[in-house]
Amino acid sequence: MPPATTLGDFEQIVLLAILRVGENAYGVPIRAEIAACTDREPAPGALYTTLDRLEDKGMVTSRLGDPTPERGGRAKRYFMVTASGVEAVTRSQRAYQRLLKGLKLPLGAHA
Amino acid sequence: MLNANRAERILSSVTTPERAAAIVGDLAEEARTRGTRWFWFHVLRTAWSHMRLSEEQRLGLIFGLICGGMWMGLLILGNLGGTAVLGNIRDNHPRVYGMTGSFALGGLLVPVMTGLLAAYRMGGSMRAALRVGLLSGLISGVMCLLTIVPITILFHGAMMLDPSNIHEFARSAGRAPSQAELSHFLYWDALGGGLNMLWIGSLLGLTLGTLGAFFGKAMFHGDQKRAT
Repeated sequence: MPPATTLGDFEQIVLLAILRVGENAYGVPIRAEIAACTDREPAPGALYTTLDRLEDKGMVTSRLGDPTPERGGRAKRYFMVTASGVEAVTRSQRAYQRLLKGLKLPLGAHA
Repeated sequence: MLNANRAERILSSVTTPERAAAIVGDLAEEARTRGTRWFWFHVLRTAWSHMRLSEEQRLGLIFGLICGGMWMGLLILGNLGGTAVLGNIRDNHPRVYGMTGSFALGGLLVPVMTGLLAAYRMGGSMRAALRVGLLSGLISGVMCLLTIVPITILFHGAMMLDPSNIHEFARSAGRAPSQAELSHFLYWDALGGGLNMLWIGSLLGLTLGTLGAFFGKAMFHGDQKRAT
């Protein structure tokens, strides 16, 4: 069995944000979703390089939409998470959940 | 001004034209509420993060820009400090003009730090550190050339009135210059000085970088020993 592709923290965040945004997942709403859910606004440069890397890994695919006048005739690049992307992010998240399970955290917080 | 076509050209040099257009479209969309400065900051930052530079090139570029910035500060203050362009700060604000000393010191310390950090981060490799030192030195030299020549052209009139330039000519020629001679002297001095900085910068990057690299190598091996 080939070794499973590992995902970095930010890659997981980006994949989950794309899944949450759904069909309208292009740069602007993906960044907004990440900011809303994590309280941290990612730099556009970091987001686009991560999206390119995820596409190279086969975790996401992208397609260009129609050019729109409010963007100066520039098309939006929509992203979709592939089956292997879903599998990888699910595996990573389950690993976190297993690590947290039953753990008594300081300050009274429980997993 | 939000010149999206120019931004697209910049990003196209580091990614595909389709991706560059989509990124510029996204940034332009957000810039409507965030402003032009935000737009250009993130165009340049995105271009930087898309650059596929090796660790050596990245270090060389960063330290070259820092070192070049030091030399630029020195050149601007040194050449325009006695003119009306900077309010004659050499005479009116000697403390501010005294920053030339800090810039000069920084211009010498940065290559040492470049070598130190490069050797440390490249696993104690002297060769890699010297390549980084050479690259950063060359970049700083180019920045000097691109500073001194334009300021001499742009502020030529003001520099003609600076007594220190007249004294400098008189010291080398043994007599006071005519207007034409002083003008000629300023242009050739700028061009010659700027071109010389290409090899001086590279040489400083190499020699001072070597000095720093010895420390960086020693620090790296010290850390390795402690870890084992």
